[in-house]
Amino acid sequence: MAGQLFFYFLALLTVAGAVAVVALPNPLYSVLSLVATFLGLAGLYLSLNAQFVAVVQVIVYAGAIMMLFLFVVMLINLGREERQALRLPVQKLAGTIIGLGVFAGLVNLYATTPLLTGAKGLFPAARLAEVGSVQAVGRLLVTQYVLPFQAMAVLLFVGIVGAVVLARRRAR
Amino acid sequence: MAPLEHYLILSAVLFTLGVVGVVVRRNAIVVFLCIELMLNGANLAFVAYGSFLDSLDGQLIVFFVMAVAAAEAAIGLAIVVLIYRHRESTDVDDLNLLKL
Amino acid sequence: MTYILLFPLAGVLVNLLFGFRRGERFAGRVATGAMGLAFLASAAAFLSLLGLPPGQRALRAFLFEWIPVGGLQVKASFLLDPLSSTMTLVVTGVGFLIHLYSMGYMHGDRGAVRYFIYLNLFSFSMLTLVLGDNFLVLFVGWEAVGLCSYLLIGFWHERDSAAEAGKKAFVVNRVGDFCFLIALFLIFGRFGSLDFGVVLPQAAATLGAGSGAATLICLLLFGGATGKSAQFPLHVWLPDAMEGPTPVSALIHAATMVTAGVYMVARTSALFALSPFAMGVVATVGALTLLMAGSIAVAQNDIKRVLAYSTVSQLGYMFLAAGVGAYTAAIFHLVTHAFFKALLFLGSGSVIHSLHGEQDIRRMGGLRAGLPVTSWTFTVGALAIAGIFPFAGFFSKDAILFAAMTSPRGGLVFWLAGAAGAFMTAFYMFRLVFKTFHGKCSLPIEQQARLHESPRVMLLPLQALAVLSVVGGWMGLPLVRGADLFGGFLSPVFPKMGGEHHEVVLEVAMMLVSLAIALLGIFVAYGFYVRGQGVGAAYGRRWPRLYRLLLNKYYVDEAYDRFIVQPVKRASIWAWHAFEDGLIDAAVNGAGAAVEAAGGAVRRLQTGYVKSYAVAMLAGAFAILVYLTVRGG
Repeated sequence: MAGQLFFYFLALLTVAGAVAVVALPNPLYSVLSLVATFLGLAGLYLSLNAQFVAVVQVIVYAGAIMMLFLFVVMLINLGREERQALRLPVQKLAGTIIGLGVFAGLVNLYATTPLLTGAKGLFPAARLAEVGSVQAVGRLLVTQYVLPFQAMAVLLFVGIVGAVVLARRRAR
Repeated sequence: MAPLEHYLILSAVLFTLGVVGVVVRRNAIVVFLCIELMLNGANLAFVAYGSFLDSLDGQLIVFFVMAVAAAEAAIGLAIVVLIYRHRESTDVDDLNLLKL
Repeated sequence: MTYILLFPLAGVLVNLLFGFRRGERFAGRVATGAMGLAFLASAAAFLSLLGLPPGQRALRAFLFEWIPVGGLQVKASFLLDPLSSTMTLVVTGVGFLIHLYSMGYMHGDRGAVRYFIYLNLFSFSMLTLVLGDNFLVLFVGWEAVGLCSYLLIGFWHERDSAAEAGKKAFVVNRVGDFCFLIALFLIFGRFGSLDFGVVLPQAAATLGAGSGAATLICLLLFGGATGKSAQFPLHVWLPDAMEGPTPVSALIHAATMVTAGVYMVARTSALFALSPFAMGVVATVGALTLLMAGSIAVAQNDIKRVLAYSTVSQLGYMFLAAGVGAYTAAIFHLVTHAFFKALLFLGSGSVIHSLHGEQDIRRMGGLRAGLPVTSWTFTVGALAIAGIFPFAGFFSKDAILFAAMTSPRGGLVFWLAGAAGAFMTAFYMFRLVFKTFHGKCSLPIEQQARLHESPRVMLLPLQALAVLSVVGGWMGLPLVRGADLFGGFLSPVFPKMGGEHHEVVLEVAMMLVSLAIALLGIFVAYGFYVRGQGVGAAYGRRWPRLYRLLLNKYYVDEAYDRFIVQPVKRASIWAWHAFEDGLIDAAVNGAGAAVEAAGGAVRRLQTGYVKSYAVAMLAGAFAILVYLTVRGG
């Protein structure tokens, strides 16, 4: 029961943060709200026995990526979004409706179809407690998933180079 | 531990909020934040399924998604800075140069 | 053994990296040193080959699996047997001397470093060609020497004629290479392998003697050889190749590369043995070429062109020998020819060098006084090529003439062709000698005063080659049993022809006859150009048509132009208008116009706003979700 309560608490935090991201007019507040959402998600990951992802979520996502966003927001220093007449009303209305439609479709799917049909994997909770979740993930990362891991490294490198090239001031 | 459905519905809520944000907001940075929100909604579903199926694959995929998100944020923000330098604005509704 | 290949390659790399910075002297030394080391390596390989019993003289070096694709297994491997060993010794030995000579000849040329790189690259390619243990490695070398030849003919590419000559050589060679390539396909199709060690021993069993397949393969192979070795009708490129620097003419277009065709025919002699018809073609083409080129050489006035046609003619001798099955004689002549033709070219280079580019023999004369060393070495070369006892050419040419007469595939006609060729050879060579070095000097006085002998670095190779042109023939002494070291060394490689019993009396008689023919040629030349000045010109006036026919090289170039080049050009222009403009352009432009029209119609859909695209994407995702739900449910 305590687990259930914990879940609802975190879910509330997460959804509140997400709503704030979308609703608050100042981008700076949006970024900070997203950090709150991420912290809530990290807690949820912990409840799902995914310690590794939880830690990465906090350090990399909330820590590094969000800091990058903050930097840019501060750099550009836009302030709040001016209230002005809604542009492209048709698109925005249609987008909202379709988005809610996606939500309805997903919920409908969850409600009507059996969810756990896949074969069970090799790492039940007891085994994870034994070998350690982080160790198990790390081992998989450098064995079975070593190729995507390498590809990821290349991707990040290209990302860095690309960001530097794009943001560099061109001498005219 | 809460049942799987709860996690999935939460992930759908996050995803939908992200979608709506992308469509409604005009500030490019906020649009990016909303995309992160969508990614995290999907991540939650991955981890939840992985956990309930006694598998670590979900976590690994989330790890890769994070890497992609990081790269995307780096490039995307660089583009935003560039656009701001050119047009003194980060309003995506101003960006209609795709049409001649 | 792989060191033989390694040294020239290293020379190329060193000169590529440092040559341009360190300058011409450095590049020349590196290139020459590399060739010297390669020669030492060849000599060492030759000695280790001699250490083996005669029947098993073959060393193989396997480097790596080159192309392991399904049925096609090609190894990068090399074979050193008596045949390839002979070739490597000639290539590296003569090559070394010519590199040395080039250091003097190319001194002061702006492109000297580039020149040495090409020259080393050529040596590397040529060695790959002769050492390759399968058809494909041979072919790689074959193409690479063609490339180097092209680069070196067009070396002075700022001159239009040089660039044109390079292009011509390349295109004409391509015709032969194409035949060669088809032959390789056929061989692979029949044998499933390209290794010499597989194809040649199994040739008889797989193809069958006298079969159509054997004849076809051999004719195609010979087609390749005709291109590279400048045999009729693909001989037209070689005289034009004289646009390159003279040492290049000596090395590539006289001593080594052009003999690749002879080498290839000798290498595949096991195949040729299966097809009497193909061998007949080889011998006939050889005889025809030697007569034709010899007669052209009589009427040319450019010193290098005379030598070029002489080369074509001598190559004809080699093919004549190969065609009658006397491969040993062919290779023997190849070797001695490499010595004396390199000598003659280098001598002519020395003459041209000291006359600052003058090549017309009508404007020379009496150079003996100014260029004593060049003069006597050139004369030695001329005696050797004319076949005067005891110079090198006497023995090899005699071996060929003897084989042409007595071989079961030979006959009186071939012998007559060879003998007539020998007469012409002696005549045009001594015409050259007399007009260049004897008689009155027809140069302007101030140029005569500046006449000077070439530097030592150029004379040394001349002297060395002159010695070789004298003694080079002695390794194949006829008549005395066991004295024919050359033949004894090579013969295990070639199929037995039968009927090789020597009739001493006949052979001596034939020697005397050919000697007499050569002396007659020299005598006639003497009569024409020394004693009775102007007699030659008088004969030219008496038969003006014949003279013009020879002067214009039987109009072969013109015939090509008229019957091949122009029709192809016209057809191309027609195809350009008909296909290019009418069909392809119309299709391409039509497709473009169609897309433009369609795009114009659809562009209304595009708002240009990022948001619209995001919404559209979302709608697509939603549609997929609905579809999956409906189908899955």
